[in-house]
Amino acid sequence: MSVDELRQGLAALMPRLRRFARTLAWQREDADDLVQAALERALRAADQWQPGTRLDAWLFRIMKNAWIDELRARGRRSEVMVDNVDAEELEEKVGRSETSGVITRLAVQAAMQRLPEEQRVAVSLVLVEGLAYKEAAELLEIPVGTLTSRLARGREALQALLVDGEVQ
Amino acid sequence: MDEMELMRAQAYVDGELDETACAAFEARLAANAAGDAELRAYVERARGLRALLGAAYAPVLDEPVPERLHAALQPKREKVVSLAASARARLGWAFWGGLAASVVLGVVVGRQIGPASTPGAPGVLAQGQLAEALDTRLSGEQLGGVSLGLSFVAKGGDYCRSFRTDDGAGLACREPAGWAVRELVPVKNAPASDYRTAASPLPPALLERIDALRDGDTLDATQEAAARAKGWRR
Repeated sequence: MSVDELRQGLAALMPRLRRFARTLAWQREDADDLVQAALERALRAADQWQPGTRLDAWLFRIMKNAWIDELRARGRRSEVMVDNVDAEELEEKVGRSETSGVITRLAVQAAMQRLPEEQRVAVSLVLVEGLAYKEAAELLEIPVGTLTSRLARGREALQALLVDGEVQ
Repeated sequence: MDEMELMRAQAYVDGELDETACAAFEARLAANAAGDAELRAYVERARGLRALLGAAYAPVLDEPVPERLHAALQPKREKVVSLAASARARLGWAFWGGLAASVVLGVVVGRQIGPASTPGAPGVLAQGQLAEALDTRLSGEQLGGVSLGLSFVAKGGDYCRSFRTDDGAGLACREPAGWAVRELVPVKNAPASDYRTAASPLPPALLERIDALRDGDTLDATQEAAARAKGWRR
């Protein structure tokens, strides 16, 4: 695959890359920074791309690594930012206006941000991006059993925050 | 519901069971045995959560993609690497490493320029051949792989000079500690004959930076010779 083909592939993936980034970073700007960093890393490492393997999984892996670097660099500031948004307040609002799709979405996103990083990435890859267990486990370089157990714990935490909290 | 059962239910909801296991699981749900109420509730909630998550992030797919992300996919245009801007510094180091290695300028990375000139910024002082060329050569002359471009007085009062190398162009200013490299622009595959002529164009990005920095006109040959005679100090 030439670099030009890689660029085309990345352009086609852009909406999904932005969506995955949004599950990692709370702020839209941060998420797009992450997408940009991943695109730049991918183009610099174009010779490592193996045609025939999934481009989306490769990019998700690059983005996940870029995100971990970012978190280390800024010392978990993202968690503080979510706390500032006050997820509990969001839940209250959700309780009062269950029909508002916007608020529900915000509540779900806020709940996601409260998950431990490992669980959030597992939930995002499988439940949002629709990757198979095997694909997600390979991407994260963990055994499938570890992935499904993170997924189960992530689900449990989200259920506790959302489904059982009358958002439906 | 034990751990194994929970994992099987989760795999069912996520479409991970093979055909046989899936059929067996569905038969069990359909049998509606009293003891399986917990299992059915789990499946229902897990499906609900999947739907909620999907709906929460789906609108991102329809958002217009910011221009800067499209731009990130374009073949790289030449770009000024500002050593003072920490956000861009990381990109700069990668390029700088390549430049230093390729033309053996003997430049030392990571020294601090005086805190007064660029607080908190990583500094790079020209060493070896680059420093010598900046000290001793006038515009249009060259030394080894380095050829000198324009000289001018910057707004802070320092003398600054542009230079070209095999694969880059840059801007250095004479500070008390030595020649501080303020900018570097990668220039790919510049044929050698290009930058040896007086008409050799400087990258537009670098020219813009010079325009922003300079206080007054660029130095003419007489002024340049006088500046060199004083060791590029004012």
